[in-house]
Amino acid sequence: MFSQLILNSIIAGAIYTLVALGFNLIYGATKFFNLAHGVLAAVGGYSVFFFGKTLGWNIYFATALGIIFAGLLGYGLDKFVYLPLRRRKASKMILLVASLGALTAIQAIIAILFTSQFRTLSQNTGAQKIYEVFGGVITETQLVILITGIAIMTVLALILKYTMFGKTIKAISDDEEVARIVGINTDKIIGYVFFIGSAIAGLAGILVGFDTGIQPTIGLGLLLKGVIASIVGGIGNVYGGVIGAFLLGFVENFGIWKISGEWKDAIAFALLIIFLIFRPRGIMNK
Amino acid sequence: MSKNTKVIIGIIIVVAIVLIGYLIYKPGTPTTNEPIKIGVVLPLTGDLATYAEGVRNAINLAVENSGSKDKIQVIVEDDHGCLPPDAVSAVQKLINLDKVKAIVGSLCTGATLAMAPITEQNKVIIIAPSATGKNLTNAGGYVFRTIASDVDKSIAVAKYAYSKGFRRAALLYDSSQDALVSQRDDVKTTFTGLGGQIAIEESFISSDKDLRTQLNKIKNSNADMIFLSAVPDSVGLALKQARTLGINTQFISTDTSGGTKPVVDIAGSSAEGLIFPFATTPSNKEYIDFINNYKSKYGIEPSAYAAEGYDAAMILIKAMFASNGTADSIKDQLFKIGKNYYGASGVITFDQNGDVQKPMVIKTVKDGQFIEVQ
Repeated sequence: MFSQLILNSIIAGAIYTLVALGFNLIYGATKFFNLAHGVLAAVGGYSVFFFGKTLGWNIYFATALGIIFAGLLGYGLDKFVYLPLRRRKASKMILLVASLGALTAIQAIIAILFTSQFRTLSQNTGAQKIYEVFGGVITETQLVILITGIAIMTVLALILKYTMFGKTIKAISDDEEVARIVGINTDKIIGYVFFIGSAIAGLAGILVGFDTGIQPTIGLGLLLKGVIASIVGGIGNVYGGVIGAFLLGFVENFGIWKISGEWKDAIAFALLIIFLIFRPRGIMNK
Repeated sequence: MSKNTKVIIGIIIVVAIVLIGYLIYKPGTPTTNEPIKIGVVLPLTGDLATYAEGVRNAINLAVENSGSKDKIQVIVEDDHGCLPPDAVSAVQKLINLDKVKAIVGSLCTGATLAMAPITEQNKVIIIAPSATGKNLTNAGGYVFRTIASDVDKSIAVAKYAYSKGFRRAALLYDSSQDALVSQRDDVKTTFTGLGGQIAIEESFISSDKDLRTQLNKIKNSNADMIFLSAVPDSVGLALKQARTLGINTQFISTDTSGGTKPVVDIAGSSAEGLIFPFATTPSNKEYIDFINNYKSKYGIEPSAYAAEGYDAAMILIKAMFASNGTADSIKDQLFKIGKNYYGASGVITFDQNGDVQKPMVIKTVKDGQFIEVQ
C-alpha cells in the first residue's frame, strides 16, 4: 500500500540521516572522508549488547554508555591516528587510507570479541508496540529513530549557528590555517567534533540494532549510504545530509516497488552517480 | 675463462637445474612421519561467518577425536563470504603451495562449484559440508558432500503446500545464493506443475536487512502463502518484519535454514507456525556425543551445519589414513568408509555421485521448538 511505502521510505531515511549527520559534521571540520565512521555505529551497537544483554544492566544506561563509548573511540582515533598524520601534513588520501585501516581493524576486533553472529538488541522479540498511520504501520523503535534524527539535526543546527563552539567549527571548516592564526585551538575543537560525530554514529548503530540487528560488518554498508546521502544533499551541510538521506530512502524504496528488490543498492549508487554528474555540489550547497 | 671451461660450467648449471627441478616436482611418496594435510575453505569473514566458525570448530574437534592429532595438519583459508573468485584463489593456494590432497569446503554451493573444476583437474578430493545446490551432483568424481542435495527439499515442500490447499504462492528468495535460487526454481516448477499459481516473486540479497518493501508488495498481491528461500538470519528478519506489517500469511521455508536457532532468536514469537523441511534429526548416539563434545570444548551449542562438517572431516581423516596417499585411493576409501556410516549428522552413504541421501521430514515451529508436523 502506498502509505506503507512512504513510511518505509521515511524510516530508511531516518537511519541514513543519523549516519549522515555525524559524517557531515566531521567532514565539514576536517575535509576528509572518515571511513571509520561506519564501524563506530557497530561499536555503539555492540557496547549496548555487551552492557545491556551480556552484563544485564539497565537498557537506557547501556544505551548512554554505548553512545559515550563510541564517541570516545572516535575521539581516540582522532587523537592517536589522524592528528599525528595531520601534524605531518599528510594528504587527504593518506588519512582516508588510515581510516580504512581503522575500520578493518576495529571490525575484526569486534568479530573476535563477539563472533560474527547477527544479533538483535531488542528485549521483547516479536511483540513490539506498533502505531497505525494512515493505513501503514510503524514500530515504536522506528518512531524513535525518526524523532531522534530530527532532534539531533535541530540541536546540531542550533549549536552551529548560535554558539561560539559552532562558529568555531564553521571557521575551521572554512579554512583551518586561518582559524589557527586567529587563535583557535583547532586540534582540540576537531577532537570534540570527532567525539560528537562518532557519538551520533554510535547512536545510529544502537537504533539499527534495536530495529533490525547488528553484525560486525554493518559499518561499511551504513557508511556508504550515509556518504551517498551527504553528497546528494550537499557535503558538509547539516541540513543537506538530512535532505539527502530522506531522498535516498524514498528513491530506494519507490525504486524497488517496480523492479526487483535485489537492485536496492544499485539504485542508491545510481542516484549518487547522477548527482555527481549533474549537480556535484549537492542539493543544499550554493 | 677459456671456451672449454665455459662449456663445462654451462653443463654443470643445466644439470643442477634439472636435478633441483626433479627434486621439487617429483610425486611425493607419503612417509610415515609426514603429517597428512587437509585444506579447509570457509567463509570465515562476511555474513556467513558464524556458520563457518561452527564448521571450522567441528573440523578441529574431529582432528582431536581422531586420535592422530599430531599426524594431521589442517590448513584453513577464507573465501570471504563464499565469493567464488576468493574460493578459487584459496583452493589454488592450497593445491599448489600447500600440496593438499583433500579439502573440506565451502559452505555455499556457488563457491564450491567454482572450486570443483580446479580440484577435479588436480585430482584433489573436495567434501562440502553444507553446499546443497543440485548442480554439485555432477560436478565431478572427486566431489563429495555430507549434506543432502536440495532437489528433494523443494519438491517435498511444494507438494506439502499444495496438499494443504494453498493455490496462490508468493516467492520471496535471496538471489545472491545459488542454492536458494535453484530451490526457488524447483519449488516454482513443482508447485505450478501440480496446478498452483505464482502470485508474485520478490527477491533480495543476503546483506539486505530491510525486507519491508518486498513484504509490502507480497501483502498487496493475492497470495495465500509465501515460499521463503533464505539464509537463517534473513528467515528470522523476514518473519519478524512480516508480522509487524500485519502479514499473517503462512510462511513455508524451502530450505532447512528455517529450522535453525537464529530464526527463533531473531523472530521470537513471529516464527510460530513456520513450516520447513529438515533432515530427520539423528537420535543416534553419535549426534548426542557430538553435541556434548562440542559444548564441552567450545562452551556453546554447535551452529547449523557443524555436525555435517564434523562428519566430513572425520570420514576424510579415516579415508586418508587407510589410503596409500593418492587421490584415487582416498576416493576408494571414502566410498568404502562412507557406507552406512553412523555420523553426527545422520547415516551417511555416498552414492555414485558422492551425494548422500538423507530422509526429509516436514517440521514446524511451535512454542519456540522445532517439531514434526503430524
